[in-house]
Amino acid sequence: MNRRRFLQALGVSAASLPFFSLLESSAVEAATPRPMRLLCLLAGYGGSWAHLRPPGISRTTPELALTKELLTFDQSVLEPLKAYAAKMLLIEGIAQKGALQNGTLYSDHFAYASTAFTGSLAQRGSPWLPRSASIEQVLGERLGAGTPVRSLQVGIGSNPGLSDQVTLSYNASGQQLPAIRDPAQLYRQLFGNSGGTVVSSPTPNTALVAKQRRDLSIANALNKSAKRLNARLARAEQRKLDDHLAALADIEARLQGGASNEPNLYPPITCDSPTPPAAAFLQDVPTITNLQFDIITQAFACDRTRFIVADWGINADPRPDVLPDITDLHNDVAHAIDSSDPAVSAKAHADMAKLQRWQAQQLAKLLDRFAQTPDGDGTLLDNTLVVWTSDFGVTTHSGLNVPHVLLGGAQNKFRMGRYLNVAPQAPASWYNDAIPFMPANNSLLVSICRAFGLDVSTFGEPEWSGPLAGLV
Amino acid sequence: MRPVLTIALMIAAAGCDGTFDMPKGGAAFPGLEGSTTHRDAALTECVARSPSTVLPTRVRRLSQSEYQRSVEHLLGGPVDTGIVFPPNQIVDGYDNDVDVNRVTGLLTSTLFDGVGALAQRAASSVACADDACARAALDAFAARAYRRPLSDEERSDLSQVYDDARTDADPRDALAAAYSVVLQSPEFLYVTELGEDATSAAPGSVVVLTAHEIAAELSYLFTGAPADAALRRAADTGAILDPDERERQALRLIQTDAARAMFGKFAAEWAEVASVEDKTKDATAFPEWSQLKAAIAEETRSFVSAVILSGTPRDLFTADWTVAPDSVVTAFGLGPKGADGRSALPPGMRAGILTQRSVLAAHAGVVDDSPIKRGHFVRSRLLCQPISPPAPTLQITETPTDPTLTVRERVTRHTSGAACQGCHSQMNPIGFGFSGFDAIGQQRATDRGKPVDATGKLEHTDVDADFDGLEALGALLAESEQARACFAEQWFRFAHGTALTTESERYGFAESTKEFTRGEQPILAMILSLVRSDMFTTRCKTE
Repeated sequence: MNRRRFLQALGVSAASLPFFSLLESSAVEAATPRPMRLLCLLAGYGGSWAHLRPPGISRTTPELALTKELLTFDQSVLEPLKAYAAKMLLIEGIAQKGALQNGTLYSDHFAYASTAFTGSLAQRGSPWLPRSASIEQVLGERLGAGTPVRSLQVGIGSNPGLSDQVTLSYNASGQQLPAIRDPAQLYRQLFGNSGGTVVSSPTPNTALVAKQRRDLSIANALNKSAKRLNARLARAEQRKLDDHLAALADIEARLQGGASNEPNLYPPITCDSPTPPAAAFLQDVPTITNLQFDIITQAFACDRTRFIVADWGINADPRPDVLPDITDLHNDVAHAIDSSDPAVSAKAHADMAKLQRWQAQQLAKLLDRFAQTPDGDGTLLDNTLVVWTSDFGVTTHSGLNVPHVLLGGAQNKFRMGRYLNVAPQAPASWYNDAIPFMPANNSLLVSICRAFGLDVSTFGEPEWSGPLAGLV
Repeated sequence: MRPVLTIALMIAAAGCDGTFDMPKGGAAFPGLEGSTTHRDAALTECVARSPSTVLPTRVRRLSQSEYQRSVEHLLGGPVDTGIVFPPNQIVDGYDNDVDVNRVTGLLTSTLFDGVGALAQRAASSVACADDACARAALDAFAARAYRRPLSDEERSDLSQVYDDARTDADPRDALAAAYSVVLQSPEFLYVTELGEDATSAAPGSVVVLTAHEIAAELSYLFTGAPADAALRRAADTGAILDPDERERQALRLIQTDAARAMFGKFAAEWAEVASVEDKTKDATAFPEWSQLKAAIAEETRSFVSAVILSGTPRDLFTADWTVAPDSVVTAFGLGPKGADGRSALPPGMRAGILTQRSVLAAHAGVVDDSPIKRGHFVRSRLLCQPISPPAPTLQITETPTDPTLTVRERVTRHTSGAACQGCHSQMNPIGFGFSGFDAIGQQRATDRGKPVDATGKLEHTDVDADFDGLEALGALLAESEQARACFAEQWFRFAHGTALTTESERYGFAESTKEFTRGEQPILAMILSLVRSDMFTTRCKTE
């Protein structure tokens, strides 16, 4: 990996913009030099609460401080992350209510995928679709100015045609947005053909200004062309061009110095080109995880993007690295979890925990990378929020008690370092009767938006509103 | 063989959720699912009035591959554009849906950052020292890119970019700036099917595409690339509006390697084998799989292309030959390759698409074959009778499998619940007919030591019957008007990037493909008749 030099670009118009708040009520702290980043990871097929929840926690424990010792127990899923106990929030009691069907929260992977980061009601169909945008889209739109890629969906090793490859990213009309699964492609999207960003140092200002002027001329012509074409189209067809037109308008506005509505509040960063990734087989989960995590780290560090959702494949085909005797994870493990035979179920829980533990190991490495990456006055870890979750909860295909593990410094917007039960009143069974006592994942999404400085009280379906109590 | 735990699916609520509709064979059938195209009232009425016009006015984005070929066409040679499009979204098994494949924000910025290098390269090959020469080059370049002559406004906008750049650059460099616009312009990125004067035509009226639009439609369909010189001439003179000329041009294009590749792409998407090379198979049971998979995928592409070019629907279901790479011919002891590239198939495998190894392997598991997937394949891809996924209110209980049960026995047992049978009775009886073939498409006489039972049953078609084995199934499908109509519809879906969703569209299409559905019209003749028809050259104006 190249040693990165972080330079302040001098004399570029964005740096001379006045600092002003884009937020209605919450003020951006002028002392925060770096933007907060979000990485949401959904690794399918649920998991084992018994191996996630530290021992000594009863059904009604509302919260408990997490320590390295507490996370160290036999087959503990979170043990590999114990060094980050103080930057971890293990949340129990959330229900993916968007997938409710007739009062039952028992649904399929794609229904949960369409609601996990949108908080929308999942519309039954082929595919299941939400009615509103996913959180990285929303944050990207509001806070992504100045980055080449406002937000992104990344695929990490999931298997096409199997239910661990799901769409998590949706635009405001509830349409699926594509995921980038190939590290080489992700690299190119984020770091471009030339591999670099704006300038390499030292560069005379005149060249930069000339390039900007030329780019503006080009952007202006493109906008005219787009509007002309758009005018020839029927209403329904025009919708197809919405993202394109918005992006062109965005580019032009950025080149004009981000004049009216969309300043980049943060001084731009320039990076040396990171090393392009080696070719890899896309369903080789360990390798792809490593490659994608590396690119994500560099992309965050170089401010190429700030908001990412990712589906993290556990790969329903054999995982000899973690589970050497299992040929069919989907059936042999995930569906064996709710077997009526206790021995079968126990083994499946243990196997799933092994898999989650492997994931925790990868996340620990990712957090290590973040912690070693300088970012403004602190590190990338300080300025990032990672949300690690799944589609299933208490048992396979159930949307009740879907685990959410928050990681990172998140600019101290949340009180990390705890186990938090947000549904201590829920009946022990975690069945449909528990639903009224459980907050929806919408509340977490609202809280995340607020942490990022967006003053919202709903996210997705307005029926479930308000932030998640106990986070701050 | 290691015992494999399987699932018993018990659907708690009443069976399929009611979206599975099985009309009797011969009558109109549901058509392909998943289309997201907006169908408004004006459009529906227009199609009803003018049945040979089944498509609305629209634009579609160039695919990654079309963009690549188009840029090469403009730059005059192979080039690594460096522009990575968003991955295509698959709808109905096809990756060219005109609604979902869009220019995303990401692609817009990728293009903005990336076309500069391409533009420099294009401009550097222009020998221009003065403005007049450069402007002429710009006009020619843009017209080639936009697939038609420029409007005054377009010319003026590009000129402006040239002039702006010219204040601090020489003609060639300023030309590169203007070329940058062209290489990412919406006029380049979107292929239009709007007709001459898009805004003045009344909603619900039939518009005729421009000659240039028709030329683009033809060239991208059959070659995935922009029109060559001969086709451009036919567009410039308007000759392309004549059906005979159109057919001549189509036939010419169809002889190219690019066309062969397009038919191969259709084959892979239609038969659901596009990702067969991603499928994992048990390495102990099938050590040959990793060597085999690419070759058998190639085989199916070549076979279906050959049938399209010179065969009939009957051949699709009953061919006793295949077109396969040498490695497959050798590995499976197929007949020696004739001059036409064909190899004879052994007995038991003479059922065209049904016995194509990649089809059998793609519709199977890691270790075992899958009667359910194969039955579903026949229903959805060959008969155009899609089956919805199970309702979400299902309870899944796992039962340990008796390792002595055959796949057929196991599947029968696990889908025997009354609630399961709603859907599985439509798939399993067909899928059982595939029992003579294992998870990588090899013939077998026994499964777990018991003789294979490949008897099956076709129901809810126009050729209902019991059958035994795939050759018998193929013979039935060869007689089926429903299967022929379905194939035509699959071709339409591939050719035009959208499904037929309303009654009037399906009626119009059925009328246009009547001869094919009823008789033994060769597939190529059907394709060419569509090229000749109003379906190719007219659109209904939407609101």
